[in-house]
Amino acid sequence: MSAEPVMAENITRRYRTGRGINDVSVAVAAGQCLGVLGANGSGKTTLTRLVAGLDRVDRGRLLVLGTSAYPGSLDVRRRCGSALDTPAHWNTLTGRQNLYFFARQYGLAEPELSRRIDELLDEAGLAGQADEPAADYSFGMRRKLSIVQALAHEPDLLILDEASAGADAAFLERLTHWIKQRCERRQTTWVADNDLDWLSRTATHAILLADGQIKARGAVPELMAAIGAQNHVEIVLDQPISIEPPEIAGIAQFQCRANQISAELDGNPELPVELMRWIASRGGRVRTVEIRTVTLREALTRRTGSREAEP
Amino acid sequence: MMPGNLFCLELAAAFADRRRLALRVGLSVLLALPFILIDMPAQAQAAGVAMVILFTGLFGAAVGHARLREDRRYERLALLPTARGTRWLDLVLASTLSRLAPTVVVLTTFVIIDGRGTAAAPLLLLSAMLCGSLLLLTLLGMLTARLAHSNAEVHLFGALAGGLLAFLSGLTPLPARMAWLAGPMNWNPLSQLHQTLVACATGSARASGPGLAFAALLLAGIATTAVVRWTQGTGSSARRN
Repeated sequence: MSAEPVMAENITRRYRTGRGINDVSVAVAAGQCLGVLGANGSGKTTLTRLVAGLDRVDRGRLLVLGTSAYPGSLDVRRRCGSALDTPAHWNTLTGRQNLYFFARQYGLAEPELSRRIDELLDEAGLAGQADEPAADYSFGMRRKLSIVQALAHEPDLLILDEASAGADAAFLERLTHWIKQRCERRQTTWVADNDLDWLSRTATHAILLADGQIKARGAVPELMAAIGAQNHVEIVLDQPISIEPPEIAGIAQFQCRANQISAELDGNPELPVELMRWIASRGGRVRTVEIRTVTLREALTRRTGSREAEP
Repeated sequence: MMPGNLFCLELAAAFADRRRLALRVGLSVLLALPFILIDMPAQAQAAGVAMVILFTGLFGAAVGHARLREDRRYERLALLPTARGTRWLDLVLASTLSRLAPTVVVLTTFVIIDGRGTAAAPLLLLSAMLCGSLLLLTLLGMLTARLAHSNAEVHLFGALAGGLLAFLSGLTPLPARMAWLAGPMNWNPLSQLHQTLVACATGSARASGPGLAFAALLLAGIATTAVVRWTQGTGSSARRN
């Protein structure tokens, strides 16, 4: 029996369109949150559906909570919670009724059930609309409802596909908080998403898929540390100048082309000011400065040497 | 009402939208009214009313289940820790019962206006055959939805399946060379419903011992299953549904 909640060994699933995944191996340990990244059509949803037990693999072995993912036993399904890419609700019923139904299927009972429903609706910002028909919900609200449905019974394995699509920033922060709490409780989370900035704050580990294969993988802090920079700075000068790279600790990949300067800076907040002082001391007059925080996107892009991390 | 299982969820969803429910009942009654009000042979009247029930049941189930698949609710249900058999039982039973509202109104109107001294026993037979027919039509509708790839195909397949079933149930005149179909019709609830409607309209409705027993058994089976699932779904316990 596999110790990891998710263990995929050389799994392949190909569709008639030619899309799918090919020879993918990945293991997610208890307490980890795996971010599955990749461009559209890279195989994220295919892999997520396989893990959720909605589809069978053509080749390889996929174990979820110790048993074969497809068709999956009732016990394993009880220990999983899934919110897939398309929110699916009974539109004539209210959000509360939809949530009640799903929570009951996973064994929640009164009085815990009502308390949990109220708590989740409140935290998701849906309390005011809880007794309105789901048909009247916006896409973002439907997404939130799907996610709290998956979370209601505090599953050992939470599977989310496109969790951030349509959801507001406050809810995403709440979701990050829930996922971090889950990690502390040694519960496992699988998130396939295109919002790399959000994932870089939420996931403990990440894999990058491209053309149905894993192109990069690792723990998120390691991926970030591997590129040795957190900020990218672009400076436009009034006039072209020619200057050599500064000898300031924490500044890397300094490039000066005509009146444009770019550099990578480490996390020291003083560095941008120091760099501009140094440019001024060399006779350069700064017109604009743009500082961009380097995220998981850059980390993975550099790891693969391509733009495959672009959603 | 808080739905605790799929049966309750589907019924609650079907009856939550009052406007849609009124339209369904209204449409069925409107389609059946010419056969009920206009003076015509009892055979034609009964066939017309049975046709309305056929298309209400078949299309209702087919379109409803195609929609369940299209908006990914089937998929969502497949992820639940519920046995597949229980899931299908709930879907079939809820779909059957939700078609009862419009069809019961049609049959009641028919019996009141065109029935000739209909007694309690034939009414029991009529109710049982209606439930049996709706069950058959729901299953056929779900099969149609499964075979179709799009909403347009569901309507096309539904019309074809409905036409074929109408023919096989004797709602249209049967050619002499196909008289052998009369045998299987004895086991076809829609055919039996049609014949009971004819008998009601001509005043010859009789319910024999075995037929009545079978009808009572069928009704009791459906009613018991529905009551059990409803009770399980509306209770507040953590029973596995």
